[in-house]
Amino acid sequence: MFSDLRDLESGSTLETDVCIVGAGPAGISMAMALAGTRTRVLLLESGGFEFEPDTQDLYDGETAGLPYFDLTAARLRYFGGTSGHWDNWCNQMTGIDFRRRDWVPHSGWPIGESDLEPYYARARPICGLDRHRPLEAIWNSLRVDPLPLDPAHLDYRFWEFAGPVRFGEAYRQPLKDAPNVRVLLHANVVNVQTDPEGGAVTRLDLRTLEGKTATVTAQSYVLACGGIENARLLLASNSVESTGVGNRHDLVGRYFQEHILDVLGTVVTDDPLAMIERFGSTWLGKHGYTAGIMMSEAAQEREQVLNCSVMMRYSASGDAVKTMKRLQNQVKAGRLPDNLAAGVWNIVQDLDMFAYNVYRRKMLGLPVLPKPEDLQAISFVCHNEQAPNPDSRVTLTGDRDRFGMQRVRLDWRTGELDKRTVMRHARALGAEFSRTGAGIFRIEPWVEDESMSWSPRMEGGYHHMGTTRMAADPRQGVVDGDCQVHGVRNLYIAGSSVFPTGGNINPTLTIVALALRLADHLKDADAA
Amino acid sequence: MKRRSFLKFSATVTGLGLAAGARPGAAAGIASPAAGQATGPLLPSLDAMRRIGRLHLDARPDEIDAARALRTRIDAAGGLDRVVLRRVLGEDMRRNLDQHDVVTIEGWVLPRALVRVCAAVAVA
Repeated sequence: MFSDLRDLESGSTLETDVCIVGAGPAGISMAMALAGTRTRVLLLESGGFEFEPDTQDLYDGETAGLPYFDLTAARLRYFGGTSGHWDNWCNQMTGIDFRRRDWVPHSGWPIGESDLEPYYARARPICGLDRHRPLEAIWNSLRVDPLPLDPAHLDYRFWEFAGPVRFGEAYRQPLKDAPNVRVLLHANVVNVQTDPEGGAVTRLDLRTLEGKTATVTAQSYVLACGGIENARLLLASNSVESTGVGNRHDLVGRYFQEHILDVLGTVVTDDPLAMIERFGSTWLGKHGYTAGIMMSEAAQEREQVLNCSVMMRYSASGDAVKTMKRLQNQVKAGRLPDNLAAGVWNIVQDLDMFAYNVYRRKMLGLPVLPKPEDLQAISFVCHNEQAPNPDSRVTLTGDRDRFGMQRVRLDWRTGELDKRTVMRHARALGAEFSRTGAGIFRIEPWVEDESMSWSPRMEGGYHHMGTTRMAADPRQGVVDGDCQVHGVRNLYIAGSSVFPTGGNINPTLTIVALALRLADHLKDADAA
Repeated sequence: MKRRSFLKFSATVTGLGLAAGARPGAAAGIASPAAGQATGPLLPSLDAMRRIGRLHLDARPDEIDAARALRTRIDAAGGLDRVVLRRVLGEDMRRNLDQHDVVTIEGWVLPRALVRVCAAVAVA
């Protein structure tokens, strides 16, 4: 059922078994996993069903260090969370992402790939993805021969995507129907209160923007507010311990990581279509694939670098491709195309390419290609894992939001290993393109620059990771392998803030898998 | 180095020649890598090699002596003849690429042997 804190009597006390704070992909996945069980679930959401500027403003904060997105634009604060602007690019982390790597300080998860494997299988349909398929099967479906990369240096991995799953829309009705789940909207958690020893949470304090208050008591509490807000809530809840909840070792907010995205370089090739066929995005039914090239695990170890992947982008000026897409969309929409004569003329001028593209679309179900002479550039964009860095962090500022909660400062920093990874990957890419005869690669000047500078185009992927990192040792991490906050027996954290390292792939599938695993853990604890 | 001259350069260094391909656009110069590789590694023009060599030696002046020594060997073998240069380079380039032993010149990723020979061509 859904209810709204604005409609409750001020000063109410709500009692439940599991209280989940935040209705994004992590929180909703947990609530869905617990739906239909005997466990009473209260899912708290700061916003409503739609975007509300006043609620979104609660995310406002400062950025320092590397340039970063406006914090009010980097996430969404309403039911469904940041899945509201998610592109749904996914894949699973692999073995090396979980292992401790001697050459990557602070690396290593307390759980392994095998611990998450069954949860990835359950997370895939929640994220709209088909079952996991091996590389060879995907290449066969795409009808493309992969470039024969040397696995001593480079390997392939695919990004997968489906039509974006807006969690707030997709799972609204099932949660409404779940008899044991209550979703409370416009419920802003402003304090996590612990007992005097700081060893257990005793209640959550809630407020609405209109001034209503409430408290929640539960057997277990789960923070699922995102990689920045989880840290903020712990740090700001400092009435018992001045450093905040779960922060006895000064780790909350530290190790903030992103995926570093930037153009590594461009390739000069006399077979651009082959390049685009191999590395362009392709839909197979409702499931899309884009091939990425990553440094192989052997190369990462040999070169002492992080996990990095690249994907291709191209720009073309061809009128025929644009015209055909526009005509197709108009016909599909049941409209007589605008400017039909001009459109047909564009296609007739490019008849050979048009015929080939019709063959590709209609017979093979593959995307259209641009004319080779219309191509302006084929570039490769990196998607880098970032080395965990304790100085890259989220802290609180003196500014306060409407509830009096301190706002955040995000100080995103990178290090020498991050830059070296980019450089080594670019050179390996160039060497393999030449070796296989695919073309010659030109690395962007910023990559070769041995200073720590990045290009002005460098940006993150809206992936906020690491601020409540997972580690078996309380001196190394905020949560343990079960996502329980060290030293606080009934407090758990869901979301990418628990990632000790971020791999080279978008985090949402792993966020959902971890949330399902945590739900199982709470079910087991309840049964015991 | 201009992009246009490097386009020609890339076609020769990588061995991608002009050949017929299965797709439309073949007439515009689309070749399959396998067909191109069969022609073996060719060479850019001597002017292009001099330019690459100068850029490399500007960045690595410590390699001038090695470049001069290699130039002496090339001259002894018959001078700046394309057949000789190809013989000097041939397998070394392939081995460099297999081992990812590359040098970047203005961002272009090139096999080390090629850059060394270019440096030898550049020293007077």
